[in-house]
Amino acid sequence: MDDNVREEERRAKLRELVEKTRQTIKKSDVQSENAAIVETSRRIAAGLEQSKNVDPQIFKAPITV
Amino acid sequence: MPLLLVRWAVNLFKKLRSRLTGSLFAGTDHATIEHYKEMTRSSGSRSEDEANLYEVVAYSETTFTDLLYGDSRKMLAKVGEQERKRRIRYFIRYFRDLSAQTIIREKEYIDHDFFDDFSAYYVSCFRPYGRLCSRLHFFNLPFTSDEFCSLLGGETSPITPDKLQDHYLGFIVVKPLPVAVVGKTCLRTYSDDPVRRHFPISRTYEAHLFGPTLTVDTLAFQQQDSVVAACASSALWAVFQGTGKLFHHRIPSPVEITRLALANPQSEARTLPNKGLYPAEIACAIRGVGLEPFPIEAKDEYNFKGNLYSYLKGRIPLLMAVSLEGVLNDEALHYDLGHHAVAVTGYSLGKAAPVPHPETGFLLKATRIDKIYAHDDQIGPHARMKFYGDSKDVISYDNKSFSRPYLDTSWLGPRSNTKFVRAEPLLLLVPLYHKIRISFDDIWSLAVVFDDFIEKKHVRDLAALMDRLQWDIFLTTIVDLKSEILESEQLTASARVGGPAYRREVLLESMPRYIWRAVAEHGGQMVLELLFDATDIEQGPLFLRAIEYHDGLSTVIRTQAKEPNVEAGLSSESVWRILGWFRDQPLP
Repeated sequence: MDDNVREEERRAKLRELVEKTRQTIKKSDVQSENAAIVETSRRIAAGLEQSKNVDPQIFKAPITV
Repeated sequence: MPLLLVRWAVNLFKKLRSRLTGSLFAGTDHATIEHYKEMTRSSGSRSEDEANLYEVVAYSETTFTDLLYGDSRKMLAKVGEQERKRRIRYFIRYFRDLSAQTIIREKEYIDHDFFDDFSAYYVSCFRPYGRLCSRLHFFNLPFTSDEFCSLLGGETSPITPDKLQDHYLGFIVVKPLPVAVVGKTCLRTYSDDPVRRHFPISRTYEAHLFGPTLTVDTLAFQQQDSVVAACASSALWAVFQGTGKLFHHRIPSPVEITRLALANPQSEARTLPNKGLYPAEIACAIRGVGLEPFPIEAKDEYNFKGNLYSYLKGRIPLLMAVSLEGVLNDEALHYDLGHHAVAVTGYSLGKAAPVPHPETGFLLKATRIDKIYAHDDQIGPHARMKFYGDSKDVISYDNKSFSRPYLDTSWLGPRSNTKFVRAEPLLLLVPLYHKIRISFDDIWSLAVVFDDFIEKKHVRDLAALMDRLQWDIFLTTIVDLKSEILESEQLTASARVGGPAYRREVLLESMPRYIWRAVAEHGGQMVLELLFDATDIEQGPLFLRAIEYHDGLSTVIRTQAKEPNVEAGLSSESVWRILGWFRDQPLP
């Protein structure tokens, strides 16, 4: 099979996938999905601040062994 | 009269034998000497001068112990014997695993690092310490002194330089000190399980052995002498072996590292002899070579593994500060051994699957780590430290609670009823080139939310990907990234829409020198990767581009990102830095 033909077949399948995705979006509750993602983003950002802090006491313990 | 003659002959023989072997074996017993002589593969073909330069011996535990500690025992027969035994135990096991068969001992070797230490301290001692080291080379090939002698003479020999190289296991420099004899040590890493064990920080070291140049891929190790360098200086020395090559800085000797560390104006301790360093002083030494120390507190196993893996895979060795505890036979009891520093050199991906993130289910490849490998100057090179599941509940200074993982070590506790010694990791210090400003945590947090988008927006289902994506997040360079793409079979003409043009587009794109990669895998195949500018600022755009290996996945993400309601709901979130790029890409 010619490369161009194979490429065109692939593109056709992907166009079908675009249409299927659009249909799924129409049926979905986009607002709720967005809100859930925003909530994850908030929680991760809060945890990130905590994980970046370093206890100053750690710098005061000598490493001698 | 004949009896007197016989006695005289016997005495003469004894004196000669004592002179020949005494220098090496003073303080060792007769059986050892006989064993050594039996194992020595010397011959009459070498001149006496040659014999003074090197010797070739068959590897055995006894021979190796004698060559490593023979001279030090001569200085102090009993003092330090416990330490010698502990260290030799580790090396013997290491050489057993590498199947060592022959040792060549260079009898006089000038080691740059010891030379610096010698001129800074030992030369001014009343006792005349030697300045010359010896060097032991190890091979997993049996050969004799005659055969090596023939090789050097250009005569017919069953061994050749190429054959020596193929079977070369590396070398140990032996310092002329009473106890801490293990100098620069470059030994081949374990290679029997390359899928599980990884030593990304390895670099190539050359050893010139009277002509043949032998190479070994590893990271150099050396023992602290507790005089010019304590454990932290030795660990830093090993770390700088890796960063010096990667970031092009001069690699200081142990004594120079100690001086750099104690240049900290707040340091109160004397420089030499040195009994240890504070983390702030270690950070000062890192700045002294022109790098930036990036401290990461070990707060939980997930985050600790993610950070450690992401920098190690980027070929940056890390310094890890740990608190050591001896656990007694009754496991409920333990005792404090103090704080210690090691250089982390590798990891083992021994777990079959990643551990899902407790809140989001995000799958991070780094959580497959079951062991790490570290240059522990009290144990040896690439010493194993295993996560054994237990952890310590800690309340942080800002009243947050977390669980620090424990690592099992190869230490022997000083108390006889010690079951094992465990290490509680406290701090990772990452020596970074100053332009690497974005951290693992910044990239991880973006990848988690992007993965959440894929899950909540049904992207994976629409793209017919059955399992949850597994993410591999690590630091890299533009050179390594583009070399990998050039060899990648997943971006060839047949594998993707617009194959050759797409591959050229990625290779020709201008990118910064340091890049964070977040690679999504499905069924062991890369399906998507996100590239971030490691030199950007946290509030900056960060995201460079995606490399899309899976047409279906890319098409669904692009379609979702173009949906106006999706943009309206997420455009103010940090993850839009990624989604905005997908929105701007064309649909098929």
